[in-house]
Amino acid sequence: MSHFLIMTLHSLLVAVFFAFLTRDGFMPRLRIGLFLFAGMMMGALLLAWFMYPYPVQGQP
Amino acid sequence: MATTATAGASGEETAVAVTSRSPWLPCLAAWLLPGAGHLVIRRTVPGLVLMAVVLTTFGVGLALEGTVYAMDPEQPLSYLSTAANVGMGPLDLWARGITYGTLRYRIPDSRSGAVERERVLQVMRERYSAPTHSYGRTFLLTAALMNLLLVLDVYDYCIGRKPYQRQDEAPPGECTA
Repeated sequence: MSHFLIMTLHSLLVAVFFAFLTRDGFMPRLRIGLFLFAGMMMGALLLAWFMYPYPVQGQP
Repeated sequence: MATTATAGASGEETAVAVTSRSPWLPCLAAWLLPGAGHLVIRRTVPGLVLMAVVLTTFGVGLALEGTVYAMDPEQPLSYLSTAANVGMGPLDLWARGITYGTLRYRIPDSRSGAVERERVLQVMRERYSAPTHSYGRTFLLTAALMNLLLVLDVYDYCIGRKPYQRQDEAPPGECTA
């Protein structure tokens, strides 16, 4: 399993969990679920983009 | 059951059912099996979905060679992580057996049990050799924290702090609010 796939799976599970925990009804759940999923994915990719200039430890 | 009217986000009034009942049995059920507490308080569909999500997260964590934490006196933050893992309920026992080969909650310190500590650390190192083990550990912690949130959510429903949006889900005959 690739790192990206694992991150996507984790984001999906957490988004579905909080959608069903905090909302009632199909549309509110879908809305908050998509918001959380997109937020986690975009946040992680943004963080990765900011970290790109920093070298991995032990490599030039 | 007490039915109250509250103003929704769009301004229209929405009927909600406020109930109150003893939280002990539903909370215990929620801790023993993720989602079971919601089934006990008749939140059937969310209960089944939440059960599937938490069990999937837990299963993926084990499949990724994840490990559960044990209290290590030389790493104080491991106490918090261990408490979080215990939130998974009896399934934590299973994960602990896979991780350590026994039901271990504490790693001996290097002064009082150096030999036993080294043996436990060697078992953990073998598990750590899997490239996905840190992801698995994150999934296991996430599943346990989700289960703790489910217990708190069931508690809120039971004491009436969180109202039922659908009145047909509210348990009959046990309402005092």
